[in-house]
Amino acid sequence: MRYTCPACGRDFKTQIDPADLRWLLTSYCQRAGQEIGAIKTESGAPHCFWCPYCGQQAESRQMLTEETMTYLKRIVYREYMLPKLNHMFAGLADSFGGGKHSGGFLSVSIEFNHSRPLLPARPIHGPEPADMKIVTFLCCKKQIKISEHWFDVPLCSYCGTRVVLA
Amino acid sequence: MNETDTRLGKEEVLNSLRKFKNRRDDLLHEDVSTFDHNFERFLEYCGADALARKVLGSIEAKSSADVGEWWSSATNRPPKLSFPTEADEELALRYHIIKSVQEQPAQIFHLGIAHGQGKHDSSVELFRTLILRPFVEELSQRLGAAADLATPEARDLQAVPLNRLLGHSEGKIFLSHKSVDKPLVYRYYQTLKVLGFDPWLDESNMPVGSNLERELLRGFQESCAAVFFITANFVDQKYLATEVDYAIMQKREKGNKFAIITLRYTDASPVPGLLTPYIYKDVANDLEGFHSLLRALPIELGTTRWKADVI
Repeated sequence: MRYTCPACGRDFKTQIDPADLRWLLTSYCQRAGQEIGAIKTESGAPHCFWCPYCGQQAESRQMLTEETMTYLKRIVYREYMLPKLNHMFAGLADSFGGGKHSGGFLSVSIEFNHSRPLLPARPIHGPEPADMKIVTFLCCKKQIKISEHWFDVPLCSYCGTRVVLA
Repeated sequence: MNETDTRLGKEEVLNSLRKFKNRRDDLLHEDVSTFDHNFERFLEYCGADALARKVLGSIEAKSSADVGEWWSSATNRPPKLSFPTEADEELALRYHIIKSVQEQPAQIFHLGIAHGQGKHDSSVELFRTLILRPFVEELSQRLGAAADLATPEARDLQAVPLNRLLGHSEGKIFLSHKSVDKPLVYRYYQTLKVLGFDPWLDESNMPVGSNLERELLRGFQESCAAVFFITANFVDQKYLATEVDYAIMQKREKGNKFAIITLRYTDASPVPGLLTPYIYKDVANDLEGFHSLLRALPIELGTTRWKADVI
């Protein structure tokens, strides 16, 4: 997944970790004012990265590219918001029953049409070209991709340990 | 360097991917009212973009399926959607199906009706899900693979935590031995050198005329391991006494960053008492000995890479 450092504006990539993705999605759902069950990050703390270029620490969601944000919004909409809306409207349609209620002089007729729409196509992330070089952090045994023209990584992007490229 | 690099520049490839992603996402996610426009734009990309042509051009001819027949099966009741199991053939067939819609847009509606979707919007959604999305997903992967822009020789680096880096003079490996065993120990010395380690052998590391005890001590101080060779030539431990003392002193001082390793060859005397608390291994030959030595060392070498004169 491609990230952009909010401080220096340079791009780097990390391997997609389901736990990171879950945290990002959860934060998106929360931002939309919704609860998404009991999903939490493993530590409960925000997921952070250290920029491999300038060492700036920031939450991973602050480093997302425009493209990734759009992708996440679409995922949340398709997998969470839309099923919720469908469920809500289906319940509303049921509550109207036959649609006619008459108990006296006045008769009220309410027509409610709700047909369950097809879900939109699932969004696709990428493609990400293999355009960077891989750096393996020996402290965490995790990898990151940085610009091919960059030769000085001050900190491990995952744990913040001071490192040197070898 | 791959074929893409020879034909397209980096900027051209990145622009192509950017354009693909925009048009793909518009095609899949924009409002149905703009579908026709986005469909045209996507097909224009597939037919004209150099990177897309590189991917699609090679598989286009691979489909032997009859698109007209496919549509008949797909729009009959009950509808039948079948695709080849081979990935290239499936991609090619989907591409032909999509192009055929350009000529006969009503096919989308017929597909919808066959699947119980009477409205235009639902038919478009169905077409997106059943036909377009699998196609663009596969195309995304193939375009990403074709846009391999990394320089192979600069791909993999290690970021080593500073506390794992050796100081200027603390990574030597002290090879302690009896003179008569020098040929055996020299084989270890040479192999360690080839692997990139820094072995310490008295004759090659002591300047002429230097004080033996002082140089020995310096050798130990600059080492991360001391290796003792116990062979059949070993008679008593007196000749080793000083070196064993120095090694134990270093072990106490450096802890885990110093290893005392004893290799006992077959038919040799027992391991001297002072060395038994540390790592020792009975070995039948040099290969076994070297394996044990590498495992016991507190230092390691980096990842494998091509030699400079190979690339």
